[in-house]
Amino acid sequence: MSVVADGLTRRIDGQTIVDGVSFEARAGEMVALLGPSGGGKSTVLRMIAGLEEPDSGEVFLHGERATELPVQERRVGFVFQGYALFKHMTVAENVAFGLAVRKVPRAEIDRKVSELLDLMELPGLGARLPSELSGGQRQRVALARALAPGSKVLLLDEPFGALDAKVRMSLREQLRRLSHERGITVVLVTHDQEEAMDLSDRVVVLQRGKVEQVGTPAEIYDHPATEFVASFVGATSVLRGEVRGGRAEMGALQVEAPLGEHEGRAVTAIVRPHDVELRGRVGQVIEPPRDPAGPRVATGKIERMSRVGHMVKIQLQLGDGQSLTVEVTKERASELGVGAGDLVLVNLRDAKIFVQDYAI
Amino acid sequence: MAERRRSRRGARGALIGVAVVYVGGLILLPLVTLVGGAFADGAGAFFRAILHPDALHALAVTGLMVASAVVLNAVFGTLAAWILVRDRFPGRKVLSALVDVPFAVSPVIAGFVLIELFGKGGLLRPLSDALGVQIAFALPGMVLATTFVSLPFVIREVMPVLEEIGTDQEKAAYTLGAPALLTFRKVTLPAIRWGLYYGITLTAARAIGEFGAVLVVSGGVAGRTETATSFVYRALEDRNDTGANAMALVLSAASIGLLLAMDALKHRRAAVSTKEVAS
Repeated sequence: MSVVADGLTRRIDGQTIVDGVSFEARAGEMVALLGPSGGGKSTVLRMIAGLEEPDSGEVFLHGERATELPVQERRVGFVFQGYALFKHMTVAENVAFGLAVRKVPRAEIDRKVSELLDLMELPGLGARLPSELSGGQRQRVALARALAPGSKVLLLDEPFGALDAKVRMSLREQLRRLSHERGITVVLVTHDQEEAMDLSDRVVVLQRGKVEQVGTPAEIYDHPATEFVASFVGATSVLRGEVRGGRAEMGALQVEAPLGEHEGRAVTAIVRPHDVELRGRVGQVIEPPRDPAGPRVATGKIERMSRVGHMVKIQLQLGDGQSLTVEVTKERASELGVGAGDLVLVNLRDAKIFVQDYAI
Repeated sequence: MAERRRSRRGARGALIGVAVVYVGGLILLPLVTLVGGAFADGAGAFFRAILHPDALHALAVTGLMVASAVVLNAVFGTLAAWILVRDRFPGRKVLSALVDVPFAVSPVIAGFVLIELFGKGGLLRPLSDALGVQIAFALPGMVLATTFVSLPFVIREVMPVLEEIGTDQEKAAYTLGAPALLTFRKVTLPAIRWGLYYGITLTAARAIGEFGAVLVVSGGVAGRTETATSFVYRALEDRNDTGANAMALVLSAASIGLLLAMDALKHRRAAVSTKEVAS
């Protein structure tokens, strides 16, 4: 069952919370609404579910207009940020609720509930109260409850926000499998770009209620449409500079770019940590005679180094005061033998350059 | 060193003594006096006094007042609390403030206003006449008065619970296909039940003890509109000490029973809410 949002707009107290949001989640697809907190993602989700009414725009479920359909008749499963489990009901009663409401016979309810509890790896917990479960278990009960009435669409609002990293990983895996095996269309809201990239087939990046970009995780990462997307997705450094001689110059660093027509205008360079080359300590590296066409090298001082898994993250302060984050493997770091306080030489392999609203 | 400790222990002892005399003197002594007075002429006199037709009738009237106030306030109080918490409309804050008026206004004034409204030439007299009910100097007026004085309890107990549970559980029920009424019955009501029970207990306690409003509105006619509290008042005036004592003892016993129930509820509510907050 597909989900289409078409120009959804929502104003609250004269403020536009959601502004003309359009996107499609095809049947069986996982789509993430990604953006900073307060960007209107949850409101979009609630409008799709029918929990909130759009001021304008339409919602289509399975190709049919659902904008005026009451929430009870939309048959979409919704998982709330805090799970919203019925606290006075047992796990089994929670999962059975949507079936009992639809007057499903008792025997079938029992069968379906135990099937769902098995599927969500919660066997034997049916008689527990939500307060007696761990965070991850509650999340799975919320999923089972949302799936019970046979919904083919699942809407999830920050589903893994309050869980620790390990539980989050296993739940992601479970959700992916669920969507795959049962052909369930999933729209989830998250502010965690790593989660969005890891889980979804397509990502809708939202900022201040507006869609910045819709694309696959790869498209979003490799070809960010706007400065916001480039800086929000993936770890990045932001350098300011201007166009000079057809190149983007940020202090001593520069990137080749066909920017002739923008000569003299201010630019922003979004730099991924792995697009920075760390050449070595000043004085240690024998600099080749400067090739005017080659990459320009800048000096930076190492402010901080931290180990993240196999990589070493190095924070630099450049000569002109701007900050730059570099990432190298731990082998490369020990080969270079650099430490905090050292002066090092760097150059840019690549960067995303934005001239105001003009993107390369 | 030892001396100082001794003198500190002495000060503590004195403080405990003050507390015992204060609580014991003001609460226990009257209770003991009540029991003593009620049985001063023996158990037989006590039972004769309490089983007197006027006394039984007064108890029945009080029972009716309690039942009506509890039912009316439970239903409309929950509804009012629901609307005050969940809805946004102009004048909501004013309405919310008005809820406390019965606490601030003397019950005697409440009774008086009811007489003014429904008595001869009263503003609402045509309405009650049209409906064929006598309100002033009759049971319906007493029910109104009792409901009025005990109105804030259910609303004030249920409102914070409604605020605390939020709307997510209700919304979850909607997405699962439950209509609004079913959601209220199956999701909201169970979630607010302890607050509601507590509010009902307070309402009952207040209704049992009500005197001024009901007396003013009813005139307290023995065997007709006299409540248990006005029975005590009249018995005192008639120098029927055993009757006054016996009725006072029964009323106190009922109130203490409610107090114990309230205490149990409070514990239960605290236990449930810590459990639910944990989830």
